[in-house]
Amino acid sequence: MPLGMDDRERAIENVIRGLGYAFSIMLIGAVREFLSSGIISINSKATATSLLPIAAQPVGAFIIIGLVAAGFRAVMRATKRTYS
Amino acid sequence: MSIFGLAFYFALGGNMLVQWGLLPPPKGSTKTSPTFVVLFLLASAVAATVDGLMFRFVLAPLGLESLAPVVFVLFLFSAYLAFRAFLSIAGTADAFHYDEHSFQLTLVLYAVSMVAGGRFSSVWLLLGGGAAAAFGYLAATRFLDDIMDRLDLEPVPLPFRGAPIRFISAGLIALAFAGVDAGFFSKFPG
Repeated sequence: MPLGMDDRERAIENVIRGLGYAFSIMLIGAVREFLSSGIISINSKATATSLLPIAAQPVGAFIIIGLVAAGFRAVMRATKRTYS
Repeated sequence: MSIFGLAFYFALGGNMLVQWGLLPPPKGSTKTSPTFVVLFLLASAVAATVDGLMFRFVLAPLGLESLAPVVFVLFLFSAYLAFRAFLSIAGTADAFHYDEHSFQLTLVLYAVSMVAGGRFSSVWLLLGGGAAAAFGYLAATRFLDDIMDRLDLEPVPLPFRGAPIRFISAGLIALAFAGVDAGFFSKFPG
C-alpha cells in the first residue's frame, strides 16, 4: 500500500480490497461448484453430471486459481497492447 | 498411535497445510533454522491441544460448539498479542509494530489447530496431531520454495510467472500428498 496515503484513503482502499477478495472467492467457488457438480445451486441435494470431479478437491482449487490468474493476466496484457 | 497412524497424519497434515502453506520465508533467510522448526512444532502441538480441550471441556458442555472457530481465533490472537507484549517488555521487539511474518504464522497455527484439534480426543493424540500437521506444513512449504527456485531458471510463459505458477505448483504438491494419503497411508487404521 502506498506510504503517502492518509487514514481515510487507506480505509477505503482496504474496504475495496476486501470486497474484491470476497468477489474473487465467490467467483472461484462458483466455478469450482459448476465444474465439480455440473450445477450452481444453494440446494445441496441438487445433483447433475460432474464435469471435473477434481475441482471439488483442494488440488483443483489451486490449479483453477492459477489458471484463472494466468488467463486474467494474459487478457490484461492483450488489452493494454491493443489500446497502447 | 502406531507408527502407521503417525505417518498417516504426517501425510494428512502435509496435504492440509499445502492448502494454507503459501507463505514466503522471512526476508533475508534462505533456510529454516532447526530452532524455529522445533519451536513451531511445539507451538502447533500446544495450540492443537488447547483447541481440542477447549472444545471438549468448555464449548461442548455449554452447547456452543458452533462458536469454536471464533473463540479459538480470539484465544490465539490474544496469545499472539501477549507474546508480543512479553517481547516488548524484554526489549527485543516493539509490541505495537506489525510483524507480518509472525502474524502469518499465527494464521497457520490457527489452521493447524482447527484441523488437528477436531480429530482427536486424548491429549497425547492432540499433541502428536498438532506437531505432525506443523511438520507437514514445513515440509510442504520447503518443497514449494525449492520448486519455485528451480522454476526461476525455466522459461515460464509470462502470464504464468509469479503467483499463477506458484498456485499450480502448490496444486501439484497437494495432488502428490493426496495420492500418498489415499493410496497408501489410509490403508492403516493407526
